[in-house]
Amino acid sequence: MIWVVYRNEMLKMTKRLAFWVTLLSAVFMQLMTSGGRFYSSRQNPDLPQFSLPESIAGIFSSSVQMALIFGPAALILLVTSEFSWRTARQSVIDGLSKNQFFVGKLLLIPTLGMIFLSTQLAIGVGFAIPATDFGNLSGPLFKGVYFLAIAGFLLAFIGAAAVALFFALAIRSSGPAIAAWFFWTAIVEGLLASVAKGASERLGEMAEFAPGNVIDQMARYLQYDKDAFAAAVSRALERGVDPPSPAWDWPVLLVWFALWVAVLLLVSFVWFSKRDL
Amino acid sequence: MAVISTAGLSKTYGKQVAVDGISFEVEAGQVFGFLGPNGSGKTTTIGMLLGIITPTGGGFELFGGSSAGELHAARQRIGATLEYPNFYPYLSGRDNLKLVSRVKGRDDDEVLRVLETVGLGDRRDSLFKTFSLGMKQRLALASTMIGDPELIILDEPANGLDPEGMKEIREIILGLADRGKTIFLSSHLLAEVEKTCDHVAIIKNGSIVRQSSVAELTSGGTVARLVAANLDKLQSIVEEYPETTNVSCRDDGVIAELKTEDLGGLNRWVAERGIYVSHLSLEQRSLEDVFIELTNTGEFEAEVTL
Repeated sequence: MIWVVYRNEMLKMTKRLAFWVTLLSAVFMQLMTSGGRFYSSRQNPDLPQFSLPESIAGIFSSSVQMALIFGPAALILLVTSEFSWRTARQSVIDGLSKNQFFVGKLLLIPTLGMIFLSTQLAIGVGFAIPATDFGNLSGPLFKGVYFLAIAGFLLAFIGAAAVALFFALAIRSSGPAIAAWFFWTAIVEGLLASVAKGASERLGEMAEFAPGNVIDQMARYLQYDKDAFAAAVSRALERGVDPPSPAWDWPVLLVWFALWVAVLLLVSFVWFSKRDL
Repeated sequence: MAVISTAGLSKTYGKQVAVDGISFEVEAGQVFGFLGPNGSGKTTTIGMLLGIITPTGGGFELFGGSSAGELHAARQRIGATLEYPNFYPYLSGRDNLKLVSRVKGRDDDEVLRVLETVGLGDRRDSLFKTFSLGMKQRLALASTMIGDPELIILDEPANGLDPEGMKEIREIILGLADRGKTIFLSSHLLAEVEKTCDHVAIIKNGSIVRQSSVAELTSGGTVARLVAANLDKLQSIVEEYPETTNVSCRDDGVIAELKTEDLGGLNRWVAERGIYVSHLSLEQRSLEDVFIELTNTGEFEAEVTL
């Protein structure tokens, strides 16, 4: 049945204009970002060239940022419409259990993650290729850490999408759900962290482990690439600015990440299950 | 064998009682009408049977099963629509039904077949949002047929249809009944219900006020129909006549249940009080007469779910 549910979700997603508009918006933003860097480096020889492998950290960072904004928004649009069109109700009438319906929405998350991340990375790399001198590379073109980072970004996407899914299932209306998700992600968490830091040192330390911060850490390229981290630290010291915050210990990061995703999905599931359709 | 069996089924929203401990049974092969005025609890009851609303009291069985697993399995044997036809507006009729057929483990050929059955074969690739209300109703009916279910639950299937469309839908429903399907149907069109159903339950304020066969329900006596220029005055005069009970006013006249079949006496009574009727006849009680009597809606727009 899971395969049936997944095929149905794919049919609904691929024929939905809102999905394509969201994806194309993300594509457009990455075209502007990577295209801008590519063009600037061509125009100004003093700037670092937008080439591989030097630009990979920048490409990864911008890709995951775009994916974490537009992907969850697409998820909210896909999920909330099931309630406004009452197709969630009809799906259960047609024979899906509520659990199977929920699983269908869960299956959307990694799929959207792969689609949004891969298109973003492809665009970034696509712009970097023309400036790359493949006969005179400054380092290895492929590093194992890239794959580790991509896997981590996918996890970060799952975390961000879990937050979005929570708002989608709780609010059940696209506009308010997107607004609440954005408000929470962009403003409330940061505000609460500031208040906590101001209240006491202990609370400030605890605020570091808020879901948004854990997801941001998971989406940070420097968490994965020790060489890039070391280079970033030395550059910061040369410029006399604050060095980047250190990478988290993996067990700590993974435990907090798993905890938050489990809590968000569990609350979403219980909320969805208990409410009438 | 009871296909649907409810026992004290209830649903409350805070202090508001939507369904108040109703019990009824639908036997295999019946065409069962579930009638009631707007807000009487019909849709809530159907929603509980279909698993989209959680009961707050009592219980029910579908095909003899009542556990969560048994109910989920039983719902695979049901085709249903609730209230308005609910489909993805950006998908074609065919794609919408494809989603249903996959869940029910059927192939695409069946989708095409049911679309042909309801007369949507030519519009199968048109988007749902371009359909007229009548076409949407037909698609909903087609959707319920996928998987050849034993029980079909239809909520207002004739809404938005012209008389010809209603006739077609009625013929489809009767065709399904002839094939041994159990049908649980809702419609505010009482005449349609009377033509289609063999059993009915009438619900009012969340409670079932009457449940029997249609024949039994409408055989309770003869009624007189009177027509005059001033129906309100006519009604009040007829109400004063000692040989009448259950007097009501409809668009087509005043209806009164007679203790005897003495129409002459009734005519004299009315004439002596200055009203001259243009029409006076004895008629068989209709389902609508019974419905109005039981629900005291006093209006033709009373909604009936069957």
